[in-house]
Amino acid sequence: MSEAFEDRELDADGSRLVVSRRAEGGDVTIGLRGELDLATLGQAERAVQEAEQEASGLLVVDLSALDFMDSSGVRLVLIADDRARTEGRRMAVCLGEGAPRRVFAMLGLLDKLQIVPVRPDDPPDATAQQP
Amino acid sequence: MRPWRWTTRLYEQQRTVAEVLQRALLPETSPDAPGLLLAARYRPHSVDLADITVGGDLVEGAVHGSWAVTIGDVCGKGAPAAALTAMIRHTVRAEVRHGHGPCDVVRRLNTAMLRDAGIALARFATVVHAHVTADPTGADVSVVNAGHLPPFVLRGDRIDSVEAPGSLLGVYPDISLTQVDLRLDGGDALVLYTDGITEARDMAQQLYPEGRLRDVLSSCAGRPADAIAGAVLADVTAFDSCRSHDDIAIVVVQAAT
Repeated sequence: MSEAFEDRELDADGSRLVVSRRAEGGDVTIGLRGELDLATLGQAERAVQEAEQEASGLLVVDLSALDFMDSSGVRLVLIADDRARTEGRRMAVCLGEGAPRRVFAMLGLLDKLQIVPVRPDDPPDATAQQP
Repeated sequence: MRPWRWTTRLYEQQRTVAEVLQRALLPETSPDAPGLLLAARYRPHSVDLADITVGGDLVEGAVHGSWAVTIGDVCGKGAPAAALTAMIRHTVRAEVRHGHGPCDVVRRLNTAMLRDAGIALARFATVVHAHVTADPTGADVSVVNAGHLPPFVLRGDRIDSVEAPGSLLGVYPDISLTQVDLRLDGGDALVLYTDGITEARDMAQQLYPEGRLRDVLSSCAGRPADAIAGAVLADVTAFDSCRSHDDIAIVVVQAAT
């Protein structure tokens, strides 16, 4: 059960990328929805780096609701995963069953990263499957 | 000198650098390869900057009559990405000429990338690398794919995807690779391409569908390699009205009829 629960969208300003943040106990999930590419990468990087400072437990980068992701999203995860290993933190990525999973599978990354499933209690817009 | 003249000079310098780099990173247009037809197309996302992130290469192997074909895509933009693209090209050339097989060439490339820069910069790349040996009736091909889009084989109007799962390069020392061996009969073509094609967008911001690429290739049945590469680039360019942000490279290797 969560001791402190917070769930809010950080960038509901019409951006192509919407970042949500969910804090539950010491775990933090950064959810990305929309399009993650070179143009929106900085926005996602800032959110992940802020979450790294806050998460005392597991940090999850949730890509499962992205409509589009290019190699920028992979770079984001690889760098965050490397920082977590270096600093002794726990980090996982949520891919869902759509396009993000296909990208990570094609790159041979599914057995290199900790992958977590989409949470059944996530809001519908965060669990939408990719075309 | 007036500011605009400085601007013009800077623009010209950038354009010159871009053109020199592009010439250095692209395959020769028509190397003499008996028994094979080779073709390539490249479209940078910008002609003004030295901002090259894809490359292709065709190089003669250590064994007479064998050729190595490579297409690659690096993560990143700007001069560092162009430098990595160049490093990949020259490393592959050297390893091929040392006589290594496709898997060894790609593993050695991965080692070179890790030695050159670690994960801290997340400089990763995806590559398809194939060795092709022509004979009087076709060509034997060995394909290795390090995290890149699967190549296609065009046999008449039939399109087969070459599935050879493998890891991206430049991040992990322990990569997994799968070598797939296949046969090209006379007229069959191996088509390598970068995701600048599948990430091209039309006016409605829709992505270029893989099915459309298959249709274009299928319509090229019976045509030579150069016409196949040209048809793909022409169709993507017509679709990509927004001039998408990624470079496009296409390499076609065809067994002569």
